[in-house]
Amino acid sequence: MDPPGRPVRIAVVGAGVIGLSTALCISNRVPRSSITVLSDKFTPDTTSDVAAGMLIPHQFADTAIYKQKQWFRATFDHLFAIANSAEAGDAGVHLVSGWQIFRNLPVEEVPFWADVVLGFRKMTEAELKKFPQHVFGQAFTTLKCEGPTYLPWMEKRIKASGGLMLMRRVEDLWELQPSFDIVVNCSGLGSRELVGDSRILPVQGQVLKVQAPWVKHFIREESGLTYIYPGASNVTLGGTRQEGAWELAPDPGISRDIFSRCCALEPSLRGAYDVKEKVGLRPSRPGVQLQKELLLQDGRRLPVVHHYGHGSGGFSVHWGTALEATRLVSEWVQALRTPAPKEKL
Amino acid sequence: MRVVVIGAGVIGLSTALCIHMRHHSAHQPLDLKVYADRFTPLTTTDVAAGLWQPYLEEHSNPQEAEWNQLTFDYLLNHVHSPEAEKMGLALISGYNLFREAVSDPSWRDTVLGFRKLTPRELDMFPDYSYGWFNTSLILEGKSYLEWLTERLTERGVKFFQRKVESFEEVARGGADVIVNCTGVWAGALQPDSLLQPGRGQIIKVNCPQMKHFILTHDPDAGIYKSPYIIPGIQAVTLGGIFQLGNWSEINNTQDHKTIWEGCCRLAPTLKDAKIVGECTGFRPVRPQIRLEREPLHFGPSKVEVIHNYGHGGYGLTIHWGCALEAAKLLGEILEERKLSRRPPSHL
Repeated sequence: MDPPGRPVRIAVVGAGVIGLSTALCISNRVPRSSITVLSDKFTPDTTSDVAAGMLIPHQFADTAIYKQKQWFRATFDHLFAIANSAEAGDAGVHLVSGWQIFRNLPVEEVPFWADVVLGFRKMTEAELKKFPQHVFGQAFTTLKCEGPTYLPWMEKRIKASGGLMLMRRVEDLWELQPSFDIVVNCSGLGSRELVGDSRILPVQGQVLKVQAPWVKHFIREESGLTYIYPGASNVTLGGTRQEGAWELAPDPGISRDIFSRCCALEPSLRGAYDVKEKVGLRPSRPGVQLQKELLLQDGRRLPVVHHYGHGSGGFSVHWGTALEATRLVSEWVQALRTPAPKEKL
Repeated sequence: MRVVVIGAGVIGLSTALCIHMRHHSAHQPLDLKVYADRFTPLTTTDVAAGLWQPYLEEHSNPQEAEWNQLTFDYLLNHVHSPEAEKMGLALISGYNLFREAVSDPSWRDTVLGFRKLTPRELDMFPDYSYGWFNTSLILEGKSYLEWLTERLTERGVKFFQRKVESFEEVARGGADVIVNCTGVWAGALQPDSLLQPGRGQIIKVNCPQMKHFILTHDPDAGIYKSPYIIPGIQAVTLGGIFQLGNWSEINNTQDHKTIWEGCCRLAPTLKDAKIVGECTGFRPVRPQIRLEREPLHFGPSKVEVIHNYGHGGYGLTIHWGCALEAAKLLGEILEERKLSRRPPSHL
């Protein structure tokens, strides 16, 4: 029986946007908790460092729309407040306006998230002249959340509230017992091995990070395969989606193709300089795995909260799902602090 | 035909280019020179943020609205050309903020995607209760002047660094036409009680995450007297100073404070931004632009002056329309000369 008042020891596995935001959320909302983030990779070597971090939701096949909208809105509101504060620069969060354009009329002219972003409307004829190959477009203002700045900012805040960062590859969740009371599994694609989830697969994406500071607007082509996302330190040009591909080395032929597709949308990109190629593996799953699990082995018990599988929608919903994961952690904490009933579980 | 353009700011150089493009040809060569005492980066144009946006009220001369539109359309056509970056030209969207509802500006259909701000957008700006969002253009003075200089040099136009003391000296030097683009200093060549300096001071900062312009308006204070934030291609311009009649070219500490506090209040993210420059310039303020011909006689010499000055704080916004008009006036002069040289008819 734990001595009353001892802080509950929580291990968060994974230090990408999901792991760090979950750790931060727990540290803010779960009283008397001590948090350790364990990961083999930290920023700038995570998948989150490759992603552009644009808040434009990806649609999860297995999740109800109202839930996805709730997650997106919670994330948008959270980041919007940061963007308008003095922290914005340190956090790497800023507003950006632009256009989502279509070669054919979309089935859905107004997506479910239209009223979450700012100023959503159809593009005018005059605006569409910029894109002669496209017949329809949407203009709006959204947020960009840059991994290489946002992740260190979160790490700093986690450490400030007493959290620890440990660079360590966790091969088995049981390694964390008995040092930790609760494990939060934010290992993304790592869950395939770590917890044997065969439903999670990489969707490989290659991007270019270039200097083109005159590009002030985002441009995204309907399916999201071709995009231009201007950020604080560079412009991300994308992209690709290769299901099941694990390769992390960039392919120069693909880089040329990405560059050419983006220049077709924004000719001024031909003047871009300092081009860097990057590859990331989106942790794709039909839906986000967000649930509690009690692991049992040889009489030992390990309460787990799974929080992974955000595919290409990590940044867009991270705070919303982190809040939910934190609620699940609180439920475990509650269970642990409640004296156990006499009968064996 | 010998033409001398006096002034190498945006008005001087764009007028020179427009004139050369329109009226120079192999069989009718134009001898075009530019005289100026200041070249980039020391002109008023170099200080301007370069956002295309006319004043909110109607211009007293309705032609100015046309010239603004012509300029926007001309620049929009170039925004996709490979030259755009070298010209310092880019699309930019942003906010115009007001303390109370105002009517739409006359240029609402010139810019792209003009709309009113939604309540959530206004939440970002607690001191303001109404506003607009639209996509416009930036044309950075320094880059544009360098680009214009290159285009003119390619065409064989020569530049001379000299302080012109009078139209007469230029006329006696052999000029047939003088294009007077001397901006705020036009009064030195010919007194003009309508022309005044509208002193402005700006701070340049590095804040690459700012992607939108934010212009505030205070009808009591007047134009440019309320904070504004205009991202350029590399740096962001912060401003909000307009002092009529002030000729002080040094950066003023109180003005610095006014700009800094006003802009940080508007966009808290600026507080940590690194300052990379600060400068002062004099907007050539006039109730309307002086764009007209004036024949002058100095003894036997006759010279035609085309005045093109007094563009206030909207020089970059209106420059090409004015250049086209000046080129048209030169065309009239050329036509008149041709006619006057024809042998008398035998009718």
